[in-house]
Amino acid sequence: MMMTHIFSFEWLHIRKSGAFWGTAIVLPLLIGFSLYLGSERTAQQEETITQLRIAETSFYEEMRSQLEAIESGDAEVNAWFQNPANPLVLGQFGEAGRHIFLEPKPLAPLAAGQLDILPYYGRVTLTNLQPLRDNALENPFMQVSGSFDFAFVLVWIVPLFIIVMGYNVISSERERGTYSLLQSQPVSIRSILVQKMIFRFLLILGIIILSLLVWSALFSIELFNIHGLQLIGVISLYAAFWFTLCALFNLFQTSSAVNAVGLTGLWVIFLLIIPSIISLIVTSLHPVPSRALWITEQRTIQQAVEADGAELFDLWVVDHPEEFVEGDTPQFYNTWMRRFVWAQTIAEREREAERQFEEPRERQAQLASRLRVLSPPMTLQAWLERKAGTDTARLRSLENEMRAFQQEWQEFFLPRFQRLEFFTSDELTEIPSPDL
Amino acid sequence: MIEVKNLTKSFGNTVAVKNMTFNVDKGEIYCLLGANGAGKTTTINLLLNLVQPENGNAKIGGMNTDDYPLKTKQKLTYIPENLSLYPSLSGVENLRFFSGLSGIKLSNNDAASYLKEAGLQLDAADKRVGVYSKGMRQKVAIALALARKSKVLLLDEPTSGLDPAASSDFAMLLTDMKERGAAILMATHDLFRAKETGTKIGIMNKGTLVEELAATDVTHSDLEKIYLNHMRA
Repeated sequence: MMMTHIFSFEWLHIRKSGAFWGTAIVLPLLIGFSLYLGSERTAQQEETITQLRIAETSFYEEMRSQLEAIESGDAEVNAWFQNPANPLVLGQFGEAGRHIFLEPKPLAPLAAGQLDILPYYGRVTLTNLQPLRDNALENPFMQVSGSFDFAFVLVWIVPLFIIVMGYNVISSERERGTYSLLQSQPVSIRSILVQKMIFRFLLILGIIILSLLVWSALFSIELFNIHGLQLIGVISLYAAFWFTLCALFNLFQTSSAVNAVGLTGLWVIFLLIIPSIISLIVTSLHPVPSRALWITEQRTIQQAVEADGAELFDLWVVDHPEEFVEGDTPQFYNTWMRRFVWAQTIAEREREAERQFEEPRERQAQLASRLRVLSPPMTLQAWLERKAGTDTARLRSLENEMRAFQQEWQEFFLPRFQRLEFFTSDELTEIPSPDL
Repeated sequence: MIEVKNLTKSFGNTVAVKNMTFNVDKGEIYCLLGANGAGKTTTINLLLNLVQPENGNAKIGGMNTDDYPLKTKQKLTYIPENLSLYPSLSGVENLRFFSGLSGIKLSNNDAASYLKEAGLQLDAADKRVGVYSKGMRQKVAIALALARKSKVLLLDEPTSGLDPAASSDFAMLLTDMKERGAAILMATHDLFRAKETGTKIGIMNKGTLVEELAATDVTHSDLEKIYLNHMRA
């Protein structure tokens, strides 16, 4: 009863304030804009994935129909590299190969995460692992805004609006002079002020959640599920964190100006200073060699393999006599057998060398994950990226998935190529696919 | 209605109120006179339970303010020296809010009629309080007392800063409240208004109630002499 009364008058009071209308108009627009960009980005990813899958399917269907035509005598093979039965043509050349995708998760539109740095798909052939990215951001808004996303609005901007709504709930009563009148009322002043704070908290939370639900429905982002519930729970906790800070400042009986400056200072500390300190600690304790060093290392390995190419191949033949057909074999066979051996050697050596880069990066990630609890904004950002599937760990897993699939790809094609056994059209249905 | 007995309150080494004892009955206006820092506001704050006494007790309607802070506030309306209301709300809305805090739900019409009864012009009732004068804001507070049917009014320097006409209007409102049976305690510097409006007059000096007299027993000039004698003592 009393709560309803205080809520209704706080509503009457606050709706006459510019701060409220500023929040009620600007915040939903920012949320809407970020979700629009997010849904466009995700749609673009889905489009890319669909197009590449269609291209892959048509390529292998085309190969099969060409092979059937050759088998029935309706067509001829003009050159070895045009023969659809050749394992090289099916597993290495031109459009051959498979794409590995990290499919967008249901909440992908919420956070761009590390997508602007790390790829979400790549192409696998017998010798190549080729991470790919979309050519350009096709949406003009995206070109202007970069990775402006809901996570950014929630983590960085929402606290500012919460501060605007909550920094002076109690201090303004003192400054306005209504505090003494409230003190003389037959209701505990603490109870009145707590209810006013709760109302403002619910109001801004309502604005955020309502905007999120309405814009999500508009942009076909599915939130009426367990992920949506979790998201609303996490948003509520984050808003409660900032509102608690506002409440604490109000309890110190400081002026509204001091509260505003103090809370903005906390915003800077939690969003800028603590993350910078964590980054400094993490990179100091577990330094990762520079990327330039890694590229130099890769070149050194490639040059060494090229220099010792002939010797390496001879040694491989000695070690694997059963995997190499000696005698009168086509030129392409000898050339490509060498290339496979070299590529395999380069990959093995690179993996070995990569450890010195990967291990500190792993330790960095583990330490950063532990230290992140010091900053709720960082924790929320990480949670949103995990939910959206755009976090570093998931995007880095693409390379492992590509490697794992390449092994399957090689196991399918290489033994046939080593034995110079070509495929029949019926066998083309057995070509491995990551989707199966 | 208001009983104050041996009330003592210090802030650090400064004694704000010392062994204060007085009563205000129904239908009485008790004017507390005294210089700045005499302890008038502290006495009111003790009655409002905003500060706790070291000794003695204060009662409203027979209930100790220390033991029943909210119940005693239910019986009173307080008008501070610089009465502030919510400036973006109208007089009607402010009245509805504050009366609602005592569990009295007013419609807009009810609120407007209480404001009219308190002397606020009808066209002002729906205007933002931000444009109200002090006298108009006080009328909202009196309307609150009327709406709550307060048995007790605590007024802290209500006429300071009011022009003579507004001050006279306010005195008439107080007299009206007195005739309705309210017990009114008014801290003031205004000797004239105390003599004109008050039933009893208490003079405070350095936290002590040094003299108590009936307003009808003294003339304006007598009151001034008595007051100045105490202040110079």
